[in-house]
Amino acid sequence: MTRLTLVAPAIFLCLCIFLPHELHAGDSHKNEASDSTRPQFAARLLSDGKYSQAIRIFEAALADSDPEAKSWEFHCGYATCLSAAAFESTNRFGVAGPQQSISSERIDLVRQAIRELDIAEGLTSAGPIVAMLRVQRGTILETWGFPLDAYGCYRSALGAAPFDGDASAGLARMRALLGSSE
Amino acid sequence: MSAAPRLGHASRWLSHLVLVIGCVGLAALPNRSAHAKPRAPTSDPFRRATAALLWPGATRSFFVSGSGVCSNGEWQTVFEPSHDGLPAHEAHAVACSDDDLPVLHWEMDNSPLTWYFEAVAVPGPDSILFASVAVRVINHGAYAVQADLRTTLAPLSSPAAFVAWDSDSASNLMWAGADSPIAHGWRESLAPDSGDTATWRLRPGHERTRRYLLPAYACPSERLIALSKTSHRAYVSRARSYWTNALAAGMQLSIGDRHTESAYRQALVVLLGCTQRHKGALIPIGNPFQYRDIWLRDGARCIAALAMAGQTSLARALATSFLRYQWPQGPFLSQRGQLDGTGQALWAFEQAFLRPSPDSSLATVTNAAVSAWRWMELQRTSTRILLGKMGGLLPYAEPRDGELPHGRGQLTGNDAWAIAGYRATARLLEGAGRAHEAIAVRQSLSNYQAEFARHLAESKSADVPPAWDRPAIDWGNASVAYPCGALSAADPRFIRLAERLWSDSPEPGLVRYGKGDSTHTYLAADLGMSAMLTGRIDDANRVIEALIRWRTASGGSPEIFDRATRDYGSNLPPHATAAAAIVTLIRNSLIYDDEDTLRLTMAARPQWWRRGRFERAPTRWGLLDVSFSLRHQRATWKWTAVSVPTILTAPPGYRIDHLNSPVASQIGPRQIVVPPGRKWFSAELERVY
Repeated sequence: MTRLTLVAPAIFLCLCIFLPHELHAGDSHKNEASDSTRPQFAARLLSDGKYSQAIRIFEAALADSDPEAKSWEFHCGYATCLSAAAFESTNRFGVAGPQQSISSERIDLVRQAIRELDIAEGLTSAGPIVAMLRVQRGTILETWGFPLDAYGCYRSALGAAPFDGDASAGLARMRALLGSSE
Repeated sequence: MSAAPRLGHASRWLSHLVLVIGCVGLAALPNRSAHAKPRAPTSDPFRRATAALLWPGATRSFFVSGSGVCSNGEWQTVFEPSHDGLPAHEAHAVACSDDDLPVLHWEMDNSPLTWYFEAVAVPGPDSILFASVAVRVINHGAYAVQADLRTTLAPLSSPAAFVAWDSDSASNLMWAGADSPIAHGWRESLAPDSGDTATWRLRPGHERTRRYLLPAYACPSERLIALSKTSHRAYVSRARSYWTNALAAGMQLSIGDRHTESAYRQALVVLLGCTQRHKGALIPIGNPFQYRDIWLRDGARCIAALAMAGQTSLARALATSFLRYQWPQGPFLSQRGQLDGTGQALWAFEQAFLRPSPDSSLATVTNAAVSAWRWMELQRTSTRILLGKMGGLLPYAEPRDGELPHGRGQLTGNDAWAIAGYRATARLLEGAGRAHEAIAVRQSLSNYQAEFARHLAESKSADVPPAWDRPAIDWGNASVAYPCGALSAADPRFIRLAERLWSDSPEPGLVRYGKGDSTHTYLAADLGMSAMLTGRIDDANRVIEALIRWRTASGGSPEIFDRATRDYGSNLPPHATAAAAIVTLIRNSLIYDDEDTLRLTMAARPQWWRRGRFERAPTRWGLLDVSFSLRHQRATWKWTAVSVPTILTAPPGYRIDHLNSPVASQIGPRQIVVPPGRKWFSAELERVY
């Protein structure tokens, strides 16, 4: 699974949630001033692949107890950003490598992302949203190499929303990879 | 480098002669040499001569090459010595000091001149590391020549030997001075209009010395200038004192075998130096250069080796940093898809926290281990439900590393390490006084071992395959016996695996990795350790000898090298895991405590028996002092009494003739078991070859 498959759906989601409607029409020159909230700005940074910067915006919003920081959307977006940042790479004198050179930092980002998803799930009871959050967690675990844990997440997502397409697809993929005949 | 200690006996005579012929007046000349060449550094088996200047906890290290380059991973200092336009030759070796400490020295031949370099790393008052370098040139010829030393600060070459993880693009590189608030190096002042070159007219026997300070990071000029007020000799002394104390903190080895003792000490220097302070925690890094990161698989080996070597507090600090790798559901993972990390982390905890006695902070790591064990049990239960025939094991993994660079597979090594993790959890629980939980974990351990054996019996492989379900590269399967204990070291399948790997190797004792003559260093270590445990001492010694042989002159082992070209490419030494392998194998040859019985002199070589001794060896039964000797066919062991039986092994080439006490029993041609509480034992031996 590539980084794109991990991040792209979540980024799309964040954009849908946070960005003003006019931006969806392709206004790519909006700046921070045009974003009415910090989560909107963070979502834009996220869509531009500037994960580390976006994290700082989310952190600032949390520190300042922004009203948006109490929503599941906020924590879902923050989680997306954190897990994407763990894959950020850089080029040092022609040598490609992870932005976070110490692996514990990368793992820290992912652990924090999972915590944020936990918080987000605690802020909603809507089945489709819960399913989406569980799929996101499953995707993280699948990407990092925990197929059975991911399998559990996709199953649990289907428990919250039995017809969730992403959850069904994730479960089918895990079954195939695990070689299950279930 | 100090000339005096390196002068040979004959040279000292010559030196005295020169002094006696005082009427010549040469001794009164400045920078007068004694016509003596300092002893050449130890040779290097590799095509290129490189070395590392390390410091525990530092965030950067210096890469030194025999071509005269010293790099901090952001920029490099290039030394270009020459005489009369003729450049000096690259050094054949960059060696550590005779007492195995990281005081590097190398020589560039430029006949009739020789350029002697000495470099040492020390932290400044602000903890930023810098290298103090002294370059001495001596005219050994019979005629005067012009000696030129051009020294420049330069951006990294492309491709760079290595790039520091926190490097910024280095530009406007400046020597410390009035015109440069920020400096990238300090050098003794040059004559006006000399550019970057120091020039001397050297008469026969004359010498000159120049000093440099090279920081790991750009820093204020005045700081470097202030540091330059201290002499190079003082920095060498400071470094020497630090490292001597650091090495003295652990087990002290005295076996009358300089070759092995040096390898042990130099490997320890690498292990101590391959640590980095990060956000208040000390972490084990795989390598000071291109692998400046943590892999649980490497870090665990380093922690275990340090724990065995008696560097207890350091091993525990490093192991504590592993807690940051635990995922919410229980496993430990440092790199994507590497499921062996869980077992390795638990093994590292157990190795570090139970020797020489359970640590007071055992509860934290024990709780973490229990959580990881539960996760592994859940995984195995799930694969039983989901995978049918392949159930009861860990699921597939996609490690993107040595064992399986591409694709997914159910890897034997993951299960072997998980089994090691189960055993470690049980031991930690026992150490923490949680006996009931330990019993449950031990039951699951037995079940897992049985499952492992069943899958092995059903596999189509004649030995131990690297993966259960597909072809893969031999890797974790080499560890199934030692240290994992998933299989007995005497299991025929495991012995066949070792024979297969060794028979295919370009270098006796090591193993081939990949194509051509690509040879892996530490991958053979577990095979050697398993051979040692089953009495195949020649096999074990071949591994130790090969690991010791294929090191740089400063004691750094690469991870992989090409046996035919003797080159390690961009995978630069020293690799911490290879150093851990050397420490582990040498230590376990003398004292082994990973079972319920203490073993002494399991693979002690004949020359060690002249006056073998080691002190403060950490074991599960406390710190032990041990000595052993062979006199007139009588072997004698003396050791600190322990609460478990001790197995004593007689030297190779002998068998036990009779025991000098009825309390012991002979359990093999060379093995005796003595009951707990004994402090010494002797046996009469008979030579067999």
